Amino acid sequence: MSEPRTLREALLSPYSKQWEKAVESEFNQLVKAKVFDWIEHLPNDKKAIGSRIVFKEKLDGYGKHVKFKARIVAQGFSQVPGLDFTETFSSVARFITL
Amino acid sequence: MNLELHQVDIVGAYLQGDLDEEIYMKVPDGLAEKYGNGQKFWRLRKALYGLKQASRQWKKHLHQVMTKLDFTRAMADNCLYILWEHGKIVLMVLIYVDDMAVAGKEIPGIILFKQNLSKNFEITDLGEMKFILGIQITRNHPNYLLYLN
Repeated sequence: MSEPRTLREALLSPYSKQWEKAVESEFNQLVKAKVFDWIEHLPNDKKAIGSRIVFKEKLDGYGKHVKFKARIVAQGFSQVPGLDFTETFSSVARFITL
Repeated sequence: MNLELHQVDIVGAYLQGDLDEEIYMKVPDGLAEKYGNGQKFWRLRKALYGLKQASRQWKKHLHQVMTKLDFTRAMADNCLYILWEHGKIVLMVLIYVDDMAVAGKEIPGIILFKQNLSKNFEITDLGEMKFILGIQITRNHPNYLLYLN
């Protein structure tokens, strides 16, 4: 059984209950962190980037489901340079510092 | 040096970074119906996973918090933060995206840092470091031994 690619697929799967709960908990986390405001219409001169939900299931060593995770992600590839973002550089720790 | 080494994970790290740009997003299919009363778009206020600037905004935000907690960023590696007291290093914090390694001579100092951190973020305290950047760490304190695997 492969992981669902859309909410519709998730809700049609045998694990629809678990997926629904996972989406709800992800959504609530975004609400809690005040990540967004709902809007009905885009301002005239604005374009919207895409988004999707990524579904991940975690299995234990016996192949039994232990976790269902849903993550709402923006599709960064639809961002326009200079408009939707300007700077992206972000460093990570170098191994040598350890 | 026999430093104590602890690990902290920050929950929902990317969602903490403020956005400098005005970004609109079409909500994933199904969400608008369920939660949005049919509204189809979000104006993003915080960085969301997948945005090109997400990791940058997160680091910017984290830098502000670390500065507020009196840490200075190391010259050699800007993911390393150091807390000085009377010319001596009290704590060192190495950051790997949303994972932190905290090193210090005294446990109470490490605990205080975690408490201060949890006032700013939701954190998972992973206790003594067992794993970092894919290296397994086993320690034997009385004998000052540290095994890397």
